[in-house]
Amino acid sequence: MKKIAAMAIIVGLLTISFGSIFLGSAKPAAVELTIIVSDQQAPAIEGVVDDFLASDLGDGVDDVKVIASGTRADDQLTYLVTQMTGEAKEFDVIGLDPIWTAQFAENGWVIELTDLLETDEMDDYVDGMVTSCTYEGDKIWAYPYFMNLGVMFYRKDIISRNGFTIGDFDTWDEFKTNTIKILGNTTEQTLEPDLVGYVGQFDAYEGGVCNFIEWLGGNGVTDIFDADGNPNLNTSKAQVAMEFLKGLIAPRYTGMWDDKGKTTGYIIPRSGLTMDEGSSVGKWLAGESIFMRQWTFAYGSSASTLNLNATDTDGDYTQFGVAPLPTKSGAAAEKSSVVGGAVLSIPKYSENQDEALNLIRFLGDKAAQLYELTEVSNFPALKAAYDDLPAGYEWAGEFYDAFDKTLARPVHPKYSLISSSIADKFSDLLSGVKSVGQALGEMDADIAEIIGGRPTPGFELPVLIAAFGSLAAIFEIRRRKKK
Amino acid sequence: MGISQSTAITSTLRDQEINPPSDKNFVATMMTPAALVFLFGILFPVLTGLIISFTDSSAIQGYFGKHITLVNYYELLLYGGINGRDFWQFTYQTLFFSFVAVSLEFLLGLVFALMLNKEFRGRSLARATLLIPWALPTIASATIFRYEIFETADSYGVVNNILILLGQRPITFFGSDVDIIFNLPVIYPFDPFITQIPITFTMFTVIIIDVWKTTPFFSLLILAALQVVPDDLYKAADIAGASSWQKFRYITWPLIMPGVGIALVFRVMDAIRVYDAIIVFRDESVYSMTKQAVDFWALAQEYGLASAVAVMEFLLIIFFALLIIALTRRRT
Repeated sequence: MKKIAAMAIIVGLLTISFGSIFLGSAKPAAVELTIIVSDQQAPAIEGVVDDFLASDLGDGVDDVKVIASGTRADDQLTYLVTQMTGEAKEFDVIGLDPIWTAQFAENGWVIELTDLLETDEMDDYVDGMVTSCTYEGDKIWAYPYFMNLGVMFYRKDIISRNGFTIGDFDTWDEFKTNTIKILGNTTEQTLEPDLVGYVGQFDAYEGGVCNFIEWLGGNGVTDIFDADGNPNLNTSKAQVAMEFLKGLIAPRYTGMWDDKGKTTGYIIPRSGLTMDEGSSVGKWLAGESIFMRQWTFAYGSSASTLNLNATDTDGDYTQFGVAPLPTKSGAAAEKSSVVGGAVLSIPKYSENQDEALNLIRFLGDKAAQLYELTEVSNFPALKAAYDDLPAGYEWAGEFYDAFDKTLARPVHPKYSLISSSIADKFSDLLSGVKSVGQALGEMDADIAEIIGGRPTPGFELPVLIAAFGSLAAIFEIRRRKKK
Repeated sequence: MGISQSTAITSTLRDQEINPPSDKNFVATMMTPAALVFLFGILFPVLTGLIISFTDSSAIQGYFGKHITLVNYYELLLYGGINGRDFWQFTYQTLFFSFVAVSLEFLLGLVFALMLNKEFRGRSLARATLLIPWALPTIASATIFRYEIFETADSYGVVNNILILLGQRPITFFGSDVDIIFNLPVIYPFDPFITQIPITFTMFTVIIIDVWKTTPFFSLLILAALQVVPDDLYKAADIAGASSWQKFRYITWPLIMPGVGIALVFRVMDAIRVYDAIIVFRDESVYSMTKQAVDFWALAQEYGLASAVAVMEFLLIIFFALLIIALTRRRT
């Protein structure tokens, strides 16, 4: 009896499994796309999945699975690199920080999109973002998703009561002289004894590199490599930019009261040398700085700070505004705003690359881009999105002027090492530990060494072998002695 | 009744013959979990790291690389490129940091331990309070020190604001403006062979943080060692008319030395691995070997180089651990 029951169960199971295979093959294969982005970005995609599936671009796709890969960029990179070295097939779209594009392209982990896109498709997006997606000449490896850009926040109230408008700070010379004038005004000194001219991110880290690239861009240096791909930082243009920046910073810190620029003619406090995003925005929100170079997030923080959020009858903020960073000539063509954010790529190992491209295009389109803005406050990379901003987000348009000035950070597979080297030397340069020429020269030398290949051992090889051999021998002798 | 009952229990225990378990299966069962933890938790990662350090493992070549090679060690030790220069610089900095920090912690820890070993009102409270710095995560305390305590005066640094209130000159504790205290002459195995590493004030700021944090650890371990010193010896010494220095030198010190040795081994291990106390300062002049290994692994995805640095660090730790154990072994 038991045997019969067991047979029946086995036959039943077999029928079900074979049956499902036949049934399954009768229907077209179900495509489920998997997209992996950071924790912060995930909700903006989850919110538009249904719209995507309902749209023409979503034809043939049954579902989109959104995976959040963590909050920290470093962890996200480590995870993605692990997946890609393991040739993981499970991801169809991956979200990348713009500085990783080159590394993923160089290693062949993502597919080239150039031929899959319309010729002018990238014209709709902000310049700096498109450059971040480009590697090896004009080849496109990623699709712009959202951006973050470096802009200058300014105290509208302070500059207007000193008789200036923001137009009076366009060129470097104007910026310096006019800011010194404001700092020299005794009324301002009484109102805010701790007032300084400008804060940015000058500490030795990635934020410092962004500021470095922006100041170079302000004098027309838009690429740290020459046409042959060799590092080319120690140029007269770069030196001029750095000398100017160095001239804004108070020389060696001598105490609280020498440090204000009121009498000395410097607009960046000495303590600005070790500032990062947090400490610079702190100084700004305390109302102690006229200008601040910062990422777009500071708009929200400023608008919610009692110190700064006074409005006029139209609801416009009267105490602060945003403008592109000043450039040497003040010409609109000079680029001075570094972009961050995210781009989307398709892994080589994905089995649904056509559908993945459709998803990417949908996410790059206006509806999804605006949803991104309202849902998680990320800035659209699509220029057209700024034409009709949703109610309550009109202020995003204030950044529009900075779009033409966007700069990408160097696009190179070994960017992270290049960046560490630049960060350290930039910090030495600003503090005066190294002269401008020396620091830039050392950057060039370091970068050349980083992008060069690995060394090959020559005669030293036997030395190494002998060293390891003797170490092993010592242990072995000790072991035998103990016996 | 209570007393008679407990006497009864003790006597029954004494009467029973307690044999150590002789059954092999039983021993194996007891050992297996520990052996497994050792195998997969310790031995496997260490061996993997060692193997990877001899391969060209990287993001491009894959985790186990394509070639067995000595190029990682060659590049770090002898080649003299950017990675090798960094390696030697960071190694010397790590050693300097470890030496100064552990020496200070040891001296202060000894003083605190001797003080806490005396009877006084509120001793338990003092012992508990002492442990607070040790209980805080280093990254948190180091961040507080950087952004709240050692900052410049106009960035709300507590120390500098107090100095200014007192009419003193403020001190630059870190950043690219710090003073170079002195240049440490060191030997490199490649051109320029003999060079100088600037030891900056930042190094001492980091040392202050480390001393603040780990002195309690030393005090506690030395205090534990002090408990085993019998009072009779001191009484005998008193009768013989020994001075307090003689009592310390000839009674306390020899008896606590093995305990101090263990504490020193622990601390030197920790000090050589220093990472969280230094990264908040973003200054090359205090970077350690661990920082370089982490950067190779996480930033550059050069797993082979990262493992090679880790292996060298491991060897350094073993060397110092053996040295300290040999020096503090009780002489019989």
